[in-house]
Amino acid sequence: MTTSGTPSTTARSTSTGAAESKTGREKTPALGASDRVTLYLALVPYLLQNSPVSVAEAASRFHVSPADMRDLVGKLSNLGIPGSEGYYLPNDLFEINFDLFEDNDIIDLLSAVGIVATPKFSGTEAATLVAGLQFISGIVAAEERASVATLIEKIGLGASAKPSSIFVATPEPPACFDLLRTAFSQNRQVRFHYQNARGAAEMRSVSPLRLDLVGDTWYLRGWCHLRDALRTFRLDRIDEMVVTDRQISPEDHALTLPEALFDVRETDLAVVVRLAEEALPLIAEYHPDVHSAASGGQVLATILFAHLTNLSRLVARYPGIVQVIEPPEAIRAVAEYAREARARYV
Amino acid sequence: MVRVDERLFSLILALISSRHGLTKDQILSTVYGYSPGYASGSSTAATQANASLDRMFERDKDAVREMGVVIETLTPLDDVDDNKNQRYRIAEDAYELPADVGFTPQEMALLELAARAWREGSLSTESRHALTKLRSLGVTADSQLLGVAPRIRTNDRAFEALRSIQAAHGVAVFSYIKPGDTQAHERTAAPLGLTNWHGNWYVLACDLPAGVERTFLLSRIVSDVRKVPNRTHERVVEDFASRLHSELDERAAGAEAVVDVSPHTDAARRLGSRYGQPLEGRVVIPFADLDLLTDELVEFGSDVLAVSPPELITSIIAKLTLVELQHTAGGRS
Repeated sequence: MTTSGTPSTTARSTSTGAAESKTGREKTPALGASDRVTLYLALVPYLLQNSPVSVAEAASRFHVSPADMRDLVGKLSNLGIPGSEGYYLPNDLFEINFDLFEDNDIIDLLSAVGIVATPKFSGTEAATLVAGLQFISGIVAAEERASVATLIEKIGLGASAKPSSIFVATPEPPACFDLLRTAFSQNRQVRFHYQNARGAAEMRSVSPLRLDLVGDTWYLRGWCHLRDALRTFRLDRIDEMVVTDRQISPEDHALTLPEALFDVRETDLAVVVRLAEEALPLIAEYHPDVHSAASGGQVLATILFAHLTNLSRLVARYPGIVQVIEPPEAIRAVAEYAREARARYV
Repeated sequence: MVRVDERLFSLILALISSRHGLTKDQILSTVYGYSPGYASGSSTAATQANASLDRMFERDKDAVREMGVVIETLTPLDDVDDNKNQRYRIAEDAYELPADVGFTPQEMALLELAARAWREGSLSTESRHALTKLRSLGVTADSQLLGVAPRIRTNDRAFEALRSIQAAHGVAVFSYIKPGDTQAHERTAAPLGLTNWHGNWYVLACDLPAGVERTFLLSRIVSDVRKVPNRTHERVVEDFASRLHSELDERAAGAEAVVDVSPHTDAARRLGSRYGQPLEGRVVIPFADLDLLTDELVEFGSDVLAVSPPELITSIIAKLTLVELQHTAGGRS
């Protein structure tokens, strides 16, 4: 593991994010009822402005599969409004050009009923946009920052209810952020001084693939040419970064980054900890494998660690809440870690 | 069986195209998805069938509202006691995105990035729906910020429950480990606003029954958050979340800790990156919450030595002592 004080993961958890490609483009999820209603409401105004349009183009615009798009459009032509007599007559339904749709996979909406324009955002939808904008405002270029404020105002005007009260503070962009942006845009490798959790430092040459901001911690993910492996680096451990003349190869670009930040190694040490079942959320990001209920609402869980320092840091973070049960060398390491630190105050 | 999404969409279409609104009977007897099940007459079977359609309609109204579509209720003046003649309608100007709200390709790129920041948590559905609506405007995002994937963490399991209780002005019950305690205690509080401050989620809440405002750190909530049934909390709505954010900022500006860090350690590197490079091995850290700072520093073990304030030193020593006791033969429980 390249970092410490940060979680190891089990193999179970690494499999979940494999579908996500490194550009951060989301996979196409199965559509639920509220997804489909929102899609109908959005699709109609889009088609009124843009049809005829190919199924492929409409599908890619709304990030759904072509099959889902065909299904939505096919259903649309059976939907409409009950006319004055209370019956759905042909004139009261959406009308599409069926020949174009079935023979050429092209959507041509001939007439619509009921709705014409894009619907407003719900209060919660608006809140996610506003809070998301606050969150990213620290990392956008200076001239874009002014437009963030305008955007927040516009989103408020476009909401059907007051956005619910959520605020996400802007994290500071790290010192090497601009250099990384240059590296990404010019497709070049970077070289930097990296000091790991135990203070050991090395120069690393890395093909940068993605910059992850998780909570308020920045991570650089890329192919490490020193280790010949995918690695995750905490930006606050990076120093003396330079953008090199070397290009990021197409092979590097083709790599799929797992959604989980940290990799499990065969050399990881399995440590058993005991804690109250209700305290499990505190250590959720360490992906504990909960194996049995102990007495009095307590549970035992196994966590994998690359190094005992990382374990000691976790336990020190939740004193009295997380207790190491085995192996003995792990218990000793934690006790020693705390004793040494306390000795400095005597 | 008509699919739920087709029924909901048909309901929206019917209510928006009806100028004077529709009564519940008209909706249940004509709108696609309800009408086949509607029974006329007053037999017991008909009454039962219609009662279940009625419940379905009530649920659908909530579902539609959650999608941002406002359903108006019109009650005839002479008819206040009888909701039989109540009419339901969706007003176009309440439904449609105002014509002057448009976005440039560059703004679309920012909005895409903003919405995707939620892809991990419970709000990912809502942010995805917001994007779907935005995409209907037909503006293609200009993707300048490729390669950057900011993500808002909402892994505190209390987050979604508190957010929805807050939106409904409800009251929540949860177990909370107060900083410095090892035991959880049950709290009853009305959540007012949620703020993510330096990576941690906080909720500003009205603590009941005392009725005083308190800030809770979500990661210290160690039970499911339950909604108290049928109870709401009246308030004058303000932007509680930004206020909480400013208060946390102010608190941090008012308190400073001085910490010595050993050179060339992870503590020196990371605390230096965050709070400024150490001067002669010393870092000055503004803080809002003594216990969170204690946690942050205790984690670094003997690589840091707190110099001031005294209560920080006391709190660090107490935590280290507890860890050591729990992991030595005599002190193990």
